[in-house]
Amino acid sequence: MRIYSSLIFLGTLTTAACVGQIGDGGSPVGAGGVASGTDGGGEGGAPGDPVTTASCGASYAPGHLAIHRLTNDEYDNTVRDLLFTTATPAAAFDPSPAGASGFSNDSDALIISDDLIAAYYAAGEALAKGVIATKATPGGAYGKLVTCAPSAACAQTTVTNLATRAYRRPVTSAEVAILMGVYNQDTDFDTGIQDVVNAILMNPKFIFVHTTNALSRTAGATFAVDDYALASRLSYALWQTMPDETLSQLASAGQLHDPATLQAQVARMLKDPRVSSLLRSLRNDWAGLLTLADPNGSLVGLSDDLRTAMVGEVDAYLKDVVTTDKSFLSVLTGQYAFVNQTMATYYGIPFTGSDPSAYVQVSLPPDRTGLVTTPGILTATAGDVAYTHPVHRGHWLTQKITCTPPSPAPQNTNETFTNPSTSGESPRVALAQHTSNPACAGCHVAMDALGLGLENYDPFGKWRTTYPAVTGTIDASGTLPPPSTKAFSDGLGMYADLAADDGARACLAEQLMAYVLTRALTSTDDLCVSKAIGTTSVTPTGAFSETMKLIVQSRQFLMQTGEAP
Amino acid sequence: MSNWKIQRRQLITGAGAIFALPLLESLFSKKALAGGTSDPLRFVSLYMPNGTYNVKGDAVWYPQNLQTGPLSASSFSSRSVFAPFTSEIANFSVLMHPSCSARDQAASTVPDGGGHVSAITTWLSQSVFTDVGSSQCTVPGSSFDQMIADSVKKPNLVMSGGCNDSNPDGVTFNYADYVSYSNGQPNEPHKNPVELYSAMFAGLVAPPPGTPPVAAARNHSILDSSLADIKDLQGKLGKTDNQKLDDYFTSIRDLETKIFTPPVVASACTPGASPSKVLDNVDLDGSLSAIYDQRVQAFFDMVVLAFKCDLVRSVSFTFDGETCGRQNNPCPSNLLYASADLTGQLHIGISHYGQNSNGDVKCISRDRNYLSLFFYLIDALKQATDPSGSAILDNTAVLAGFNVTDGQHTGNAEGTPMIMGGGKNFMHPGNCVDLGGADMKDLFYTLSTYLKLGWSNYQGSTTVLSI
Repeated sequence: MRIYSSLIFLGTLTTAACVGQIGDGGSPVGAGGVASGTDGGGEGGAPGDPVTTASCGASYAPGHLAIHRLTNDEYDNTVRDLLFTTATPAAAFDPSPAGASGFSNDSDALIISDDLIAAYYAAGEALAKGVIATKATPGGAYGKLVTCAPSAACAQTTVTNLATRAYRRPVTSAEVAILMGVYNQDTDFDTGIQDVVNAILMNPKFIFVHTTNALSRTAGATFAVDDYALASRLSYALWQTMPDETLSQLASAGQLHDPATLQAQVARMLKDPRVSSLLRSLRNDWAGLLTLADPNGSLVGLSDDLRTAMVGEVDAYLKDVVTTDKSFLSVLTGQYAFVNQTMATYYGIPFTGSDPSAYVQVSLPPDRTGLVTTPGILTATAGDVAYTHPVHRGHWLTQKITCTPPSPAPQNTNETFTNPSTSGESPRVALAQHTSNPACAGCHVAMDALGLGLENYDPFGKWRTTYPAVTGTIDASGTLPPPSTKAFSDGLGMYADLAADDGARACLAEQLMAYVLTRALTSTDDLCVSKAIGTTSVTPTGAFSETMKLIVQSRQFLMQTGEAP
Repeated sequence: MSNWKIQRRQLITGAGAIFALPLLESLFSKKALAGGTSDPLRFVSLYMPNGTYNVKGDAVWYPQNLQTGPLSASSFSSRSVFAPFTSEIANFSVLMHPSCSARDQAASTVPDGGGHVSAITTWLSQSVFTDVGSSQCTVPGSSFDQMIADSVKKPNLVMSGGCNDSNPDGVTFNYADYVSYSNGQPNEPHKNPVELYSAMFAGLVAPPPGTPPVAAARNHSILDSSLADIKDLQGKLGKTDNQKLDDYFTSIRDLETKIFTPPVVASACTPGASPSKVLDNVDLDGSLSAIYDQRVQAFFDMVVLAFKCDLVRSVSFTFDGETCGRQNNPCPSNLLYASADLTGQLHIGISHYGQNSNGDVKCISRDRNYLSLFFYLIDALKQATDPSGSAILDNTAVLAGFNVTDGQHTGNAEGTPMIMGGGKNFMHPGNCVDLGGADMKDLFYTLSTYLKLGWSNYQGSTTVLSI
């Protein structure tokens, strides 16, 4: 998760508070001759909630959030809300791979290609045509976007309103003039509007979520992002779409930076159905179910019904965490599960629901804990369908639960790992060379210990006590990797130890931070922040909304650091 | 899944044309596949679904008495499907008694309701499908048409008349979508002629003089507006952000170059108008039967144009799906046979000839409709010329036929109906050839040699047939 980049270490900068108005860019103030920035903030002080500032100081470095190209899901969601369409043109775009943050909304990984731009153009053309096609449809997109009788003045109004929503902030007269230039290429009103829609959808100010400030081009200067940028950051983090009317109005009124307002908006947004996009990202990128959840995919040895049910269980669990506002720690500790008829049968428990396809909450089977031992995650991380590969599950744990991912394996690594049923050798024995060989031990001590802790679950997450064709019962005992070194007897014990571990709690907070910030936390970030958020809110009595509120009040979220031109 | 996407990407990054945009200069280069002629060599598949009537003792798709050798007017009885088309005899050959081991193996491996899935999925792939139960129906590798496209580095043009989703007999499988494959995944066919025209040719259309606004000007202003705002943003952001904007700028420029670089258009490559707006739709259930033939003709017109412009060298067209409520009265008068009488549902109502009164006559009538469209394409290709002056038809192999062995699913069929049009510069049209059970793989290997593709074998076959 953490990247130790060669960026300038901003922690040495001293950032003074100021009383600048939010969004005005302010004037540079600083220390030691380095242009620091304008810390506009909720109460005229430096942004940052009491929790993180108490732990990490009032001026920890906010880091730099690169301009963020819309992900495919964000593109679809945004055109849905902007143009009132049900089209999903991003299905034709190349998929976005996960970046260093582990999430596919990672700004650094969202590159631009010729193919993508051409696909944008094709999508924009089709969407624009679609808008005009609804002209005769009551309540259609055209009627919502064009609210006046066709005329030059009406075009100006329509273009201004549409661009304001598309760029997610008030537009300048120069920006409107550019778009009116497109409109004026045409002789009839509708064709002109159609071309403007296409032009807006191709515009970088639509494609990129970004913030500008007078200090944006001053290296190391820090400044509070304005309310419109904040609304976009918030909206894309929680909904993966453009700000709604409420957020836009708060931004327009300059109220969004107010901590109470910001917290209220987080609470509101987490209750909105649009939060499903966030849940899908957690499922695909954090829980690792991207491939398993592919509707066009298949997995040898697993029926589509069971595969779909496994994914559905994870979806139901994550939805419950968010909608009932449980602590994110419950992914480790929850003593309940969500099953449909298929999953109940899989677990060997009675199904009490009336709809076989609906998921109902049940008490957790005794050999499970939280979301992390659901068959979906255990299958997605098993590494094979014929046998489990402990290193794969261990690798997932180090990435997603402990945030201690290993370095890439050396090129000459022998990755052969044979099926225990073939070799007659248990994985623990087979992997012993990892810990006895110093070249391997540095990474594998942690990965193997954590992965072996889950050996009581077969490749599809079924509980087992023996391996086929291997003598003896499975030994899933071990110790947490340093600095904890707590002993556990099996996977349940391992997860109980991790749930009590501050490092794991900080990691869970760091995972959510990385998603919200659309970037990996780097050496320029003070990891004290995720630790403070984790130990404060990723607790048995914490709440998901509390964690998210702390994240969006962090200086990383509220601020930006300038770069050299 | 969708070859729409694949094609679009290929067009952009490979051959050059893009969706709704004009064409690149490179598209119009006249590369020889190989050998002594500079003309491109091409392949067209026209798949006729459902199965038909060609029974022993009354094989209406074969010459009388199963006579091989040169065709003549007397080769066909008045019941023959070819009876109205004797003027076309020099332009095609009848291929009798082919076999298709992949189809037979697929049908025996996964019973699929009369061999329809096995027939349609193996027609061009010659591979046994997998996972038909999940409606994925993938095959290993690529189909013959796609392999050609990959070999010559041109997009593969895949089309269907549509009419495949009506589900009148409870079948939910959309057959026409599973004829052409790329790397195991079905290439989704184009079903809307107007959209296809926009994708391939719109940018080549010169607007009438004085007609504002021209498409180029509109596209220019749309993209230029983006460039202006990129510059605006770049002045407000730092170095790493500007690098991403640089990429955006470059890609927009690249797109503009593709759009606005005047293609070197051969005189033969001048598209006419877009297909009629009444064809700007997809006929999934046969409700647009009245314009079905016009739809197919529009597709075929674009095949000819695509060949003239050398945009593609492989084409797959599927007439209908296996299930469709298409009717066809009256037929367009510009067809050689305008008396087709399609008053029954294509699958049960016509192909299952044994269940219907005059079932054989209905099959013959429908097949004459297919053939009249086949010959529409043949004649259009004959009128078009390649750079050497040769008719495009003579440089093109047009394979048409069924792969369901018998519409009634009996064992009484004389053989699967199959004809080969065109290709005079490398084949021998105007004959009846008895393949004697030669496998379709042999036929495809043979074609690969005729088309000078340089393949060492086709799915293990190195047999060259004389056709």
